[in-house]
Amino acid sequence: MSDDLLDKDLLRISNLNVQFRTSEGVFKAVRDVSISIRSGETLGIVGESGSGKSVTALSIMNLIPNPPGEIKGDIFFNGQNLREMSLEEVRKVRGNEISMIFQEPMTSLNPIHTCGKQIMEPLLLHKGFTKHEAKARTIELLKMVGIPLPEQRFKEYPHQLSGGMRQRIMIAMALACRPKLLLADEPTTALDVTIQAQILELMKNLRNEIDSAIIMITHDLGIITEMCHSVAVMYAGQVVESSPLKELIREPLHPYTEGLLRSIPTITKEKQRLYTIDGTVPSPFNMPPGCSFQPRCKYSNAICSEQTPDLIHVSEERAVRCWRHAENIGIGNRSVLHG
Amino acid sequence: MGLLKYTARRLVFLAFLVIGVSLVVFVISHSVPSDPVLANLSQRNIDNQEMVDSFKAKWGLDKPMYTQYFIYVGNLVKGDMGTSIRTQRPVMDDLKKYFPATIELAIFSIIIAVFFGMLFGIISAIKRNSAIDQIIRGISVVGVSVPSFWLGLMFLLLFYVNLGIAPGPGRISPYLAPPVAVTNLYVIDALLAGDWSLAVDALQHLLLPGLVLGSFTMGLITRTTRSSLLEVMSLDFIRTARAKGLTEKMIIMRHALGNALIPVVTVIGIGFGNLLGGMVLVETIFAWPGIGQYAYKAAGNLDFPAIIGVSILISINYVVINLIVDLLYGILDPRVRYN
Repeated sequence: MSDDLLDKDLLRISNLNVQFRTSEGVFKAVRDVSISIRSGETLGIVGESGSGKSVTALSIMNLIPNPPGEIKGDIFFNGQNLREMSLEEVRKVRGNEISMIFQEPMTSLNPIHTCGKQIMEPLLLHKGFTKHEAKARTIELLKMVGIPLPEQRFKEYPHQLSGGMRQRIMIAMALACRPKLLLADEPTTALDVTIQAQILELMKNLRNEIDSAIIMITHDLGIITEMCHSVAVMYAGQVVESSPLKELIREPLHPYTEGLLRSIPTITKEKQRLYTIDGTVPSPFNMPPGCSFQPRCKYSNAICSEQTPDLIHVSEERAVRCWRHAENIGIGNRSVLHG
Repeated sequence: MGLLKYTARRLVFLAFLVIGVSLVVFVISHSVPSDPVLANLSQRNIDNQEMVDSFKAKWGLDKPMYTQYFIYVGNLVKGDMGTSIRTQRPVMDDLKKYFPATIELAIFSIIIAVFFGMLFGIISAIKRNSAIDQIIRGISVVGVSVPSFWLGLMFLLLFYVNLGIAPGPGRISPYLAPPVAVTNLYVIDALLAGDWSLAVDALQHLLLPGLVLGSFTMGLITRTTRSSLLEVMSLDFIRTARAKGLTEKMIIMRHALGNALIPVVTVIGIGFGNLLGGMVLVETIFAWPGIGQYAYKAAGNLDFPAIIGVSILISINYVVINLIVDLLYGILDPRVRYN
């Protein structure tokens, strides 16, 4: 990739490694993750539980508790390396230019403060609003996220609202300062299906309205197809495939992506047992040698259990971490391209 | 409205409690294998059957136990707690006389215990596992486990006898006259009278017994504050607060402490109740003319009306303190308020 291209990236993570030192040993949650996103784009990070999606997002905000967490690698946001900033400087970015929506709307709001007070907080902190201005903007935000009777809700406490309403409060809070980047960590997982659809619709509309980049973290490929321009598939702490959405759906390159796509239930096909990927995710303390997916992979051969494949660019926009494609494009294991 | 109704209901419950406590204490104190005649009459009078009979007749001890109890409760309903066998004065008057000294000491102790307990607890949680944390935890364990009579004697020996920096037992120095009685709390009465030196003298006399009495509660509050704050700091909404860009200080003051205080208030309530109950030893050691010493002497003489009177007074205190704690929950935690 040329420097020119790099400069257009709003966020560029390169070689991110996150590990946790625990009593059982060192747990590598994220291994060599490199992703980038431009303004206005939505990037989906998909993977099952424990694949390192949330840890990646939390690392961007520097919200990994240390100890036991250790972050290595570079995270460029707007051309500045967040990893080299002081905590004080990172705090000015948090909640202001980058904000985050969490998975648990029931527990992510402080039970003893009113919703209004919690939404106002980043405005008072980052934008220097007076209380009066912040309140007006908060009411505006509550309207924007589709909360009825915003003046009344402003004064209410989180426990008085339903899960869907609380997630809307979280979204309003995250959008308060008009962030350039929004990290949505499974924003709909804890919600009913009907509420999920409403929240996704809301996020889509808001994306168009505020022109932020969104990183959508989910284990649900349905949400990815609904929301995203491009996708990074994570497995056992690594990005195993990254691709624009359409190409990924049309022709998944990594066997894991293929398995994920095949295991989506459809109503058009005849009733049959749902496809599952055999085996389970390897223990982070006991990674198999070579490719992490190899024990579950139906295409696996000798090299897969010997050497770890690098992320290989098969085209300008697509990359995959799989020996099959290294061989297909004639790279072999000697000189692979780095992502 | 709900609040008033709630308080009223609790106060009605208090009336039943007083009857219940009187019954329990009556039965227990009359079951003690000791004879009030022996405890109150001299050897010569005990040998004189006429004297013994007249003593029994005077105090109703010749009647069956249930009759004695019904007479007592009948009088209690009218607000008459009987006459103390030992002091020969109405128990109500005795309680009025001795209770303010106890309350003054209890309030002083609880202020010390709450202030230092919370301060130490917060420092300990913030500086978790540091040297200062270890020291504070050591102090709190000592505070909780050292018996107050030992600590009281050691304090007197060290600060009064050896170092001479603390005043001796009593509420004020023996050469001073007590202030004009308004509240019967000497510090406040002295201040009301504008007598600064007397107020300071009374405060100095409060210091040692206050510290001894408060040490247990302070240890308990320190430990509860520490663990509660640490627990709250690991909750999801604290991560939300960090993601907003708040500083650690703001997070602790605005988001963590309010939530962490809820269990601490319970402990303060229990601690305050214990203070009143645990006065007996401390008041005896420090010659503090309060309800504890009164109870101690009453028990020694099997002075039934006084024993029951003190028990009722302390149980009423427990209930009132619990009521205050419950009302405080409502202030601290909106979830309780609305339920």
